Amino acid sequence: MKTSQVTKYLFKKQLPLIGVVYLTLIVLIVVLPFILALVSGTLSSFSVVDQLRSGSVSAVFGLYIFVISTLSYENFKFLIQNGISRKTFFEAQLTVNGLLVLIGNTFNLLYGYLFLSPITNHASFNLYTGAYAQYFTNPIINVALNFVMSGLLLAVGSLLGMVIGNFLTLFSKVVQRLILIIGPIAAGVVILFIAKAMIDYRFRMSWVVNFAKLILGYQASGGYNPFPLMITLLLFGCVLALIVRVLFARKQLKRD
Amino acid sequence: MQFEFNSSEPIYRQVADQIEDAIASGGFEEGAQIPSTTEISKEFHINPATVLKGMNIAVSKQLIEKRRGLGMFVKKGARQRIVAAKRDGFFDEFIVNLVREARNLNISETELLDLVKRGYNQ
Amino acid sequence: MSVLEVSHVSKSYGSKSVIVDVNLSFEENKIYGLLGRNGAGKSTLLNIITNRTFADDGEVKIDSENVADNDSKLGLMYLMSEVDLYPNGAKLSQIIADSELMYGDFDHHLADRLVDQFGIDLSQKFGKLSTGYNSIFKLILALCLPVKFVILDEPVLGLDANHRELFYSELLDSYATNPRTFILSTHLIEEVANIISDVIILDQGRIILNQPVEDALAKTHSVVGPRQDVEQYTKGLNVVGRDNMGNIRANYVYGDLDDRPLPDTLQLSNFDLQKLFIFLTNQYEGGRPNEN
Repeated sequence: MKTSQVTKYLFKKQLPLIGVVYLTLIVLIVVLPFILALVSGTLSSFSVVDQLRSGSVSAVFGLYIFVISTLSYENFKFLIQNGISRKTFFEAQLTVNGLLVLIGNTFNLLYGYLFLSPITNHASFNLYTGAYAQYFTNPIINVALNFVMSGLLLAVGSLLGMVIGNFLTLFSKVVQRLILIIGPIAAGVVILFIAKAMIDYRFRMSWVVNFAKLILGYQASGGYNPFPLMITLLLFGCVLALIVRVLFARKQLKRD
Repeated sequence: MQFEFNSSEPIYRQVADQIEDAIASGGFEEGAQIPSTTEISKEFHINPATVLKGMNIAVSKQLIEKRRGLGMFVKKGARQRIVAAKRDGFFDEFIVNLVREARNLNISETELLDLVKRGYNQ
Repeated sequence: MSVLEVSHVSKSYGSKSVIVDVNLSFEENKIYGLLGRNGAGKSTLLNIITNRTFADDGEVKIDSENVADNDSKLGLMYLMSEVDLYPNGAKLSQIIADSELMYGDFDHHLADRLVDQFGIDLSQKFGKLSTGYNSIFKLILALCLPVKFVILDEPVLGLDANHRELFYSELLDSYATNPRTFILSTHLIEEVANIISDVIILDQGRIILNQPVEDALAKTHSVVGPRQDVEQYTKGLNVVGRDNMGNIRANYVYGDLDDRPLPDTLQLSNFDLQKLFIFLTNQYEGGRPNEN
């Protein structure tokens, strides 16, 4: 098994990108608005704190890990050229994405707890701090659970990206484009249909609402329990990982 | 060494013939080292196994010998053996053809003998 | 002993059969020539052997172990293909370092010499090389990585005459110092005819010849002479090709001759691999029945 070599290779390729992502982030949520304010002459009302509060660092990292997870054909080409099996590629890619999630999550929480919260005077900066922070009163437990839940969210985002990306590489470029165009439209139609059905038969569909409440850990006494969501994310993640494994096993070189 | 290969005869035999010719002409002197299998293989783009097979024919004809760790060397008396062998084959290889060709051209025995004499006097 | 075995491999794209029940065995330390016309299925077969694409049927094994999803077996092969699988824009020296990481070793000593002789600059970026230097770079990788099976698909693509000479010499030198199995897939037969020890001819996805070169050539016979005599002598033999020059005819036979005495009017000799290849893979000439 050559998992460690492949992990090293994939990680080394990805690392500089994280730097680029965070740099872009600063440009997008601080520098660009500042320049806009400068140009439009509204500099007097410009506030870095406001900008930071409105921009979501966690969400951007989530988007980044999702996008890079969809890309794998380039790496597959290089690895199969070098006699690396699909199984090893899968294991290494999972490891690398796990590491990236760990790094991004750690950065996000440090940024949130130590920087964003103090300077904006606002305790809530992500899903956990917004909805679940009241369940436990111990701050250490809260930070730990926040770390686990945010990490799981990122991991699921990454796995979802892997499923979509690796599913698409099974097809030729033309079919890929077709799926990319038709897929979202079809999804939109289905969602509209369901929404309509839910409005029409509000009472009969109440199980959907109940189910959502269950997953989110809604309590009749008010507030949310973080564990149902964490367990759900964990199970969902495992299912996605299995699908990714199957999709990786089906990778092959495309005909040009 | 001046190897030239044609395509209608097995290469290993041509390798053996070329080595033999080189010894007969004095290109490879008796007691001297000849190029290694790899050198011949590299130079003329021939599979080393083929070269080796050709070399082995020359070895079995007592023309060259392997000196352990050093390489292939022309054996003492190799040239003598080649000349003797060629003499043995001279009739079959040259005379038979010569006579056949002469008959095709209606050259009589006496005329042919005269031509041979003329060749010697040149 | 490392033996690469291909058994009952078939593949089709849609309704088109590209590889049809191919069985091959590549033994240790031989140089194989995989010959075939363009589109005969050579690249597809090599892609299946190295697990880049999947066969519909059959399997590929090294030492009786399936190579599919098997790092230790896949790591014994390197396929230099026409298709580029390296990231565009990566520095050549970086690609070498990464390949070394994957295969676990790299012959830097040999690589330095080849870089020097071919005059390639490793600080260049992949994707910006000329066709010739692209091939040279991949050949350097092929010769310097620690594999048991070096598989070269159209190795001299874009190389000029001098670089071809150099490549064949270096290939044989590398083979002599470090014997391993080579598979040369090419349609340039003349250039490799004396280099390969075994010839495999692939035609329309099927193996039509698989033999030591020497044995194959021993079965080639060109029979030249007056038309009547030639036809009479070769009647019932496996005539694969013909040439006409007025009343003089050459019939090319592949296979054993029988005990019929050779008339004085006929000349008998062997013909070369290139000719044999052309006759066997040219269905219009080779397959034409005895007419005119």
